[in-house]
Amino acid sequence: MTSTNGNSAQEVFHKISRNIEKVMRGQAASIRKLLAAFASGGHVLLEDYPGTGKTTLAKALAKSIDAQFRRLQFTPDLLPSDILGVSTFDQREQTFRFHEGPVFANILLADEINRASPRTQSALLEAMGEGQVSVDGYRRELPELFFVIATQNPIEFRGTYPLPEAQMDRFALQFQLGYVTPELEMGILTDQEIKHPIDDLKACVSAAEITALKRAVRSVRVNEEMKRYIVDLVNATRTMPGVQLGASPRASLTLMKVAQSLALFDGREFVTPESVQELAIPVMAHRLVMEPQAKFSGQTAEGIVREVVQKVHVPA
Amino acid sequence: MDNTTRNTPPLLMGAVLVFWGWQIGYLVLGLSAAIVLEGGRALRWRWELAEVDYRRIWDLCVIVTGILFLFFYGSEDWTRTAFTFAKWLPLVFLPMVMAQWFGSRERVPYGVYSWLLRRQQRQQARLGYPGHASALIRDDHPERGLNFSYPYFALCLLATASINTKQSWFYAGFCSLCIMALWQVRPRRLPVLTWGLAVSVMVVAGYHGHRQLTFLQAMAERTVSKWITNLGRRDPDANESHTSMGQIGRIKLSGRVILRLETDGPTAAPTLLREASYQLLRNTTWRVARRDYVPVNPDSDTNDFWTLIPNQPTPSSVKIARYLNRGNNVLPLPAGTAQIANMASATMEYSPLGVVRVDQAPRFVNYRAYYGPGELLDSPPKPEDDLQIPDAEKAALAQIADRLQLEGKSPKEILAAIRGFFQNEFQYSLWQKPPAEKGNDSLTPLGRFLLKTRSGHCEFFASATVLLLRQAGLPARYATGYAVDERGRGNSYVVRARHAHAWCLVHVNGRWEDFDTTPASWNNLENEQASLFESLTDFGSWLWYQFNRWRYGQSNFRQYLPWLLIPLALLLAWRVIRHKQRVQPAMAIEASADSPRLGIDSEFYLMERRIIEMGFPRSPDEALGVWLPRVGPAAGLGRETWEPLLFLHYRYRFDPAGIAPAERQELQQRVQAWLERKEESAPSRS
Repeated sequence: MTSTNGNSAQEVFHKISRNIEKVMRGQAASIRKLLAAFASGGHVLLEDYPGTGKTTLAKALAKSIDAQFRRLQFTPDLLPSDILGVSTFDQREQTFRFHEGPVFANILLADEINRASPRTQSALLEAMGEGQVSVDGYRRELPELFFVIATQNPIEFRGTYPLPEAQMDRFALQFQLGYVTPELEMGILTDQEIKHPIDDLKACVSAAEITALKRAVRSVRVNEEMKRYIVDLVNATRTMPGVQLGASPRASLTLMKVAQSLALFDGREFVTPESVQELAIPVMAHRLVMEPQAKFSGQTAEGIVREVVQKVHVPA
Repeated sequence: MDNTTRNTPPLLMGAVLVFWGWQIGYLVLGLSAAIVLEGGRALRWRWELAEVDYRRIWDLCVIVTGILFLFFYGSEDWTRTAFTFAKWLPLVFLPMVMAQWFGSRERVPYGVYSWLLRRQQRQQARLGYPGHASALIRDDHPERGLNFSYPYFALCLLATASINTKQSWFYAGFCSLCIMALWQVRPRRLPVLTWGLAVSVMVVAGYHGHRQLTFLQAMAERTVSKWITNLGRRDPDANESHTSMGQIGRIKLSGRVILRLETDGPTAAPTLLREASYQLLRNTTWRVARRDYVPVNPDSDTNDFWTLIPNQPTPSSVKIARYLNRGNNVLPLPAGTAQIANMASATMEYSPLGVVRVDQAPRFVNYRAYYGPGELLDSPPKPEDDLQIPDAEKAALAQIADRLQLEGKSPKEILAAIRGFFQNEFQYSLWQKPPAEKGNDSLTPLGRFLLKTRSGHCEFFASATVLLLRQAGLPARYATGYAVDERGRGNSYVVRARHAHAWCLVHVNGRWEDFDTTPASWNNLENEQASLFESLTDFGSWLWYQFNRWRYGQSNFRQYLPWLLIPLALLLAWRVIRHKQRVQPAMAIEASADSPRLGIDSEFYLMERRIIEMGFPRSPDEALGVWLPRVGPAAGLGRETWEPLLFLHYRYRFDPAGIAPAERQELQQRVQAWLERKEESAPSRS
């Protein structure tokens, strides 16, 4: 019944994936996660060192789907109006005219989000959460396709404002790109010897196809046992020693949605334990608040989630 | 059902219990335990035990272990009884393994075994996630926990090993049991031959390994015993006694209670308990002339009754309680001791100087000495030893003997004269003044005592008396031991370190007599030294004594201990079972599943079990889609085989829309085909 629908959706996934892979070598796993989040309607936070290809990834995605792409560099003096837009008085027409900020885009790359002041951060995060912005009392809808890829440098670096826990919770996934192998890095050099391959990147799917893809993701089936497994995993983070604040019910919801998306990516119309396990760390780790003592003793949120996955028996 | 709940191969537990019973010499006990456990396999019902019941049983086992440990630790030398303690552990933990076998749970939660874990769980619950913790990671999930059977198996082998007396049967039995246990869990991917070879190598290596270990132990023991003999000895030396004569200043002795005496009825205790006697004085040290000992054989039926002088009437007896050191110990005894009872030492020997010493005795003894006015252990006097006077003392002694006109008197008159001399002209003191004029003083400490200071402690008096008696022609020896002076409650007496005493033995009328010339005031003077806290330390010492008396006392009680445990176990069983209902095991497992598990009858599980049996286990957190790529290549299972099967299985299990009948059939057929193919390719499998 939905198998043709599912197949075409999987095809859309793979088309984008192949397209991005032309530019991003050796990042198939990251692209998979990025697309899963993208199709499930969640936003992504990339925490990585400069120069690992965060911007290229975002740009490649934008170029692949024929969508409007904006990039916003966060700085300490960035103001909310710099993101949302500003109303100016038009002398000729004697009215206020709203100039849309960069947030009115399909794909927004918020670079180094932890460099801006908390006030500015929350302006963006509110937009992400609500899908709308309020300027001058007017409510303005964001485009239906709205996807934020935020990047941040590891927070040990100077001059950063770490995102508050509540705002971390708004990102569906957080993951790292990481460094590629020396062989792949040589390949990257070869690719860009003459010019950047991203310049040749053509859109391969239309916005309509994306809308259909998102609809298909929502129809991926999840049975009671898988829901229970997801809830068990999320709940288990709340009782782990060393964790001050465990993952929220929003984490359960996101885990299910992204797992649905990933199942579709793999060509299935129902969620299996493997998808949930694959996503457990990217979905949950960034939401945990660790106890200071546990942090000092070298425990990490990722380690906690890994432990949880090992502790909870997987349905087989 | 049986194999999953018990997890040990049939008859393994029975075999190990019989083996244990046979080796420790309680075959009936081992056999009955084996019959109860193995017989339980035939039963179709189980007791429905809750976690708290298991906890109770486990706690009881641990408490009994603790009591047993204290008991054995107390009763004798621990190094010997450790083995006896280990021997009984299988009996102690039998209730736990019974609960495991007759209870409804396949595994007992870890919290049952550890108080710390229990507390941690309680804390977590208190921190505010009570019902929230997932059923899967909650400890009471049936798949989590420890099955006690294999640890118990190991415990039985350990207990059996502890009583092993170098029989070759033990190693053979041990190996067969281990092979029996390992057979079921052998990796199925290896041919039986390879496995057998590996096991044989293990058996041979184990045999030689333990022989080398024994050799190493013997070597270590030799080395250590050499070191220990080279170290200084703390117990009283029966061969020489260094006196404090010539030391300047105050002699301090502690008020620690060393001996406790108890007499029969109101008869007075012996006033002097001798430990040793010496013949030769050199400078300030008394020595024996010869070091020869005569071994004593214990009476054959009790092993703790020793006769030193046969056929001697012993109208009196005294019980003496004291602590002993490791190794040789000299016993303080009243004069004329002929028999010693309740002395559980390995050896006893005496010297012709009346020293009785024991070896390898418990750390605390409460022996009874039977004594009477008959013969003594002491050898008759020898003129060359018992009349010898050191040259340095001769002048002073001749001077005194002249003054007392000892020449030509009868022994009785000599004794009276010497006693009178010391009583009237000497003082007891623990304080030695430094010599008044230095340099030209050529006197020995003893000479200075006799001629100048005329005050000193018992060693001066005893030494001087011995030499004066010898000067007068009476054989005499220097004796050390304790004076019994302080009366306790009832018929008991206490002897403190400061009651250590020295006196002399004089040979008159064909018999050695105690002759003590130290002024009677010495005890009062010594008692003045008592510290303010003595009553307090006495009380502590008394408590410790009472405890030790209990701890080392009831040697008979030990053998009844196993039987005492039986009513205890019965009581517990009654407490646990009283309110329980019997359940069918299937029901008990059904009840624990808290979310519906669809498609649990999938044929894919047959395949999974087969792969696990081949020796590729799957950890509970490993999803099938992770496990199969990992073990597939080694198990000879290509992706093209498992992937479609896994997809069908997953559709059956996790797709709410369910599986089409045709697809279900396909799953069945494909799994069946694969299993058959496996069966053909591995015909050697048992």
